[in-house]
Amino acid sequence: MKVTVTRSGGIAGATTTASVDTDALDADKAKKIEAIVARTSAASDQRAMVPDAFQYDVTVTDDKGSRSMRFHGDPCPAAELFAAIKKV
Amino acid sequence: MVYGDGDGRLMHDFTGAIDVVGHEMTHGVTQYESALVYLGESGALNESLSDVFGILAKQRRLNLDAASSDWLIGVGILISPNPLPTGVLCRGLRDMLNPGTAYRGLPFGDDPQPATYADRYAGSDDNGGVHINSGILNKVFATYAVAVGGNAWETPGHVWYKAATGAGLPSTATFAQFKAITLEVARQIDAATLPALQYAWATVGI
Repeated sequence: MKVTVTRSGGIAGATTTASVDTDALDADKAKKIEAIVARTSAASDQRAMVPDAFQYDVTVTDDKGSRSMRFHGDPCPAAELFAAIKKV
Repeated sequence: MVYGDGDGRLMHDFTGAIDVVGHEMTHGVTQYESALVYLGESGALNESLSDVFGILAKQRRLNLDAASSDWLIGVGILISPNPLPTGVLCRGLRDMLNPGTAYRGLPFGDDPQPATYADRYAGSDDNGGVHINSGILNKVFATYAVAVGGNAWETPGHVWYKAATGAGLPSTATFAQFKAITLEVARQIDAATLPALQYAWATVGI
């Protein structure tokens, strides 16, 4: 599973991207990321357009195809996903 | 209202900077007085108003008139190598008078702000570039204030506040709509500053 999270906005307005291919990770790390992806996929964007909050654009590509989601604000599953990928 | 702790790698803690605090407080005012939708041009206007009243708070505090102000938002927030390598800039988060020149070559990146309407960001990051295209409107205000002279929180600040909070501003205001309102308000408050305001709008090509 390939996951890319692009974070933009925030008071500084800068864009930064984190991506990972879970197939290249060891099993428990891959499972952790995939669990957060599942939670992110089930979540809806509750907090659109809070001034100076981050915008997260998530793209997931697996054997089912490719899908994209957008979220605003912190905390949110996308924020967790971004942090988790950066840590890997 | 969102501040930030900074991550200690790219940015320091934000809450010490009066212009940042002013920026956030102004979002509160804008929400109730102007209700500008935080997307596209109305969102960039929302953002610019926060920088305008943020910088006025800083200038008032430091007693700096338009000519003496550095017009920089967020000085000291970005972490930079010390000493700075040649060609690397780290002056602040945003330069209101010269958008796009606040920082360059940092781990954080390069200042993405355009200085003219023709160069505006048209993508979908950052709610349609609200922190990016705000630079265009910031330049209008800073240029107007420098051209008028004296304290920016006087006539220019009054014009901007009335334009931002008046009944005529739609929540989906475009830059062109905001321009028309600023000209009308300037005419009412101090028509002698109209040439300076028209000049300021012309420098960004609106």
